[in-house]
Amino acid sequence: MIRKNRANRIYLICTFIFAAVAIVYFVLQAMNKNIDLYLTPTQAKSGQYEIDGSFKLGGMVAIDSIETGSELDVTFVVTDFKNSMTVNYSGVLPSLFKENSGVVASGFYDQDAEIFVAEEILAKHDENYMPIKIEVEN
Amino acid sequence: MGGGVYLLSKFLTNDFSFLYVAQNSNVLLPTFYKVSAFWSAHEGSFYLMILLLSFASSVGLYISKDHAFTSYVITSQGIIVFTYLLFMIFVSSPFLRLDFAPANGADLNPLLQDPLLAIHPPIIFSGYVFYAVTFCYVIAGLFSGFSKELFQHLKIWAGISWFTLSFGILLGSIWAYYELGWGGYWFWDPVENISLMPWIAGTALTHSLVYSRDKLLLSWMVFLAILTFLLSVFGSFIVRSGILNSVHSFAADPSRGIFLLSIFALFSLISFALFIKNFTKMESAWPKVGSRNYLVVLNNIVLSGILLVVFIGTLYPILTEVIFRQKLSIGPDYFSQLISPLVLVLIALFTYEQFMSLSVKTIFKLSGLLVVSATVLFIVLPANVYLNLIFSFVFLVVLAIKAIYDFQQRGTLIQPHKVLGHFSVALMTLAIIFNHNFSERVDIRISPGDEIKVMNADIQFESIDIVAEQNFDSVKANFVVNENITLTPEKRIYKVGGQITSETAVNSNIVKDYLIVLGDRFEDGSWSAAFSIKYGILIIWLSAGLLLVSMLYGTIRRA
Repeated sequence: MIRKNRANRIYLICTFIFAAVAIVYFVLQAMNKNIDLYLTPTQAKSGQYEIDGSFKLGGMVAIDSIETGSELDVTFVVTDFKNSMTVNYSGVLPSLFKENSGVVASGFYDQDAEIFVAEEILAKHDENYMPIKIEVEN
Repeated sequence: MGGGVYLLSKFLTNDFSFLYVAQNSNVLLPTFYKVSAFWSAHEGSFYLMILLLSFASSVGLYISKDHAFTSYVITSQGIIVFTYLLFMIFVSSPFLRLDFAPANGADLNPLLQDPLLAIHPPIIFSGYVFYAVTFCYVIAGLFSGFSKELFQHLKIWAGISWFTLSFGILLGSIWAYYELGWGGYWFWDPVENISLMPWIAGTALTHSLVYSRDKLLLSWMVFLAILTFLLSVFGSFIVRSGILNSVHSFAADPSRGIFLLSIFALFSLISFALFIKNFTKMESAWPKVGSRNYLVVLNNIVLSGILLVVFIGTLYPILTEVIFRQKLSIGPDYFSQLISPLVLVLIALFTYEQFMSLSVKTIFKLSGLLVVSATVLFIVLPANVYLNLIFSFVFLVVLAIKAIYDFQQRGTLIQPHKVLGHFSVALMTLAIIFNHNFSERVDIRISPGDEIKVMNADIQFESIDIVAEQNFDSVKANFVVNENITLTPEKRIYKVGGQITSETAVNSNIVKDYLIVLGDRFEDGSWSAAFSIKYGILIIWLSAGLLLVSMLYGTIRRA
């Protein structure tokens, strides 16, 4: 009886370890694929970060910079008051989006055109919402 | 209790000399929302939780007779309530007075002015509170031993907590779908994940009660109960404390953050100290490989895996922000890619469980049949259908046939709550994958009077109206989809604070939903709008409803 119990224990512990290793492996793999950095225009232009893939650009929408084009195209400038970056987006803007307030655009940077092509725009009503480095520096 | 009524009366009579009332209410706010403004911010929701906990323990006391464990239950509940009260009095009091009362309040956040959201927080909090009660019974068991009566109480409380928390999460999900306007019911947002974590741990706990009654892996069950409680404490602390949205606001009120963390650390320390000290009392056997109990243990392992995935995905960004000052986000794909195979494993486990009594040979034949039918479906169906969708469909059909067959053979089902619960989980998984697979969204620009055709649907923009309400003005757009479905999305501008919100217009049927969110007006008079078709939303709500029914039945049949 006791021996049997021990066998059951060994089996279960092995299953558990196997499951744990598998989960950690897959978590690491999925994290690699799905992590996006939040960068300010200054950080994005500093060359310290990898900006070939997708990332999130955060900052304020510069005053008088919103221009609507044909169809749903819209262009605006995201600024951290040191550097700025032109953003291009096609689609419906969130209702909290307005100039001189915080915005997070996710997409990628087109190096040749020097334009950030946004696939999704998130607006934050709270004007304190900025990547933390700027707040510290100001 | 008296204090609660008093604070509520201050909301109703617009007494803005109370800071909390001034911050969260307004003269123009409808009465219903004045009541819900009570728990709309951190102080009030915390206070509500204390009231609920005291209430739940008195009810629990009244029902439970004088058992060996009763005094331990009362003591641990008392300690929790006492700690919470200390927190409230020193750093989170809703009773702070202002020297000069403002004439009007800052208003309740417009996004929270919704009937669903008015009842969603207290229900989630009740779920947390009931898990605290469940936890107290487990702690009592550590002192007095796990008797049969204790297990009876444990199962009922774990069931009630599980049901309440699930219901609360469902309400929040429905609110997100109809109010937030992005056409989703789950965003893997930190606030949502924080409530999902105790739910997953609680689900594992409820299942672990099945085998631990046979004196198997008792310590694991106790560990899960502690974990569920700690995660729910964590959840109730963190959601409204501002830590999630920005580390900055955490620093803005360090006394509260530090107090919260120390309470959490204290609770963890005490529970794990008790756990280790009483480890010998939980000596128990190990489940036999391949037995039914073994399957439940496997279920626990998979659920713990899901919990770990959510835990890492939620806390990793917060940690990197605090430690490395680097903000990052983990996309929803991280969660769906990792969790959907794990959920399919769960479904495979409980489907297999239904057939365990059959001989190995029959099971072998049946699973062969399953693989063949999945392969056939995979070849027959168009190429853009996910493999996960086919598997969940096959499992669902198998479960349904087995349940009907058993019912015809015996005229009744053994453990109908289990059969129904597992069936609805399979149905929900199918609906979610179906939704994920086929839903579409397109952004359009359209002028009043125009008609366009997108995603096989005709959209007509008839007219636009301006309407004035008690506390907001609104712009209403009238759309007609496919000639007979009227959709009127709105944009509201709130009179106090000037906040603009969008009200999504939704038309649902059992297969698909049409949604329109109104965007902005252009100079030429045209409007931008987001039009989406979402599949299987009603089936998701329906299966969630069935799951709730099974949880409720599984609980009350013991009472």
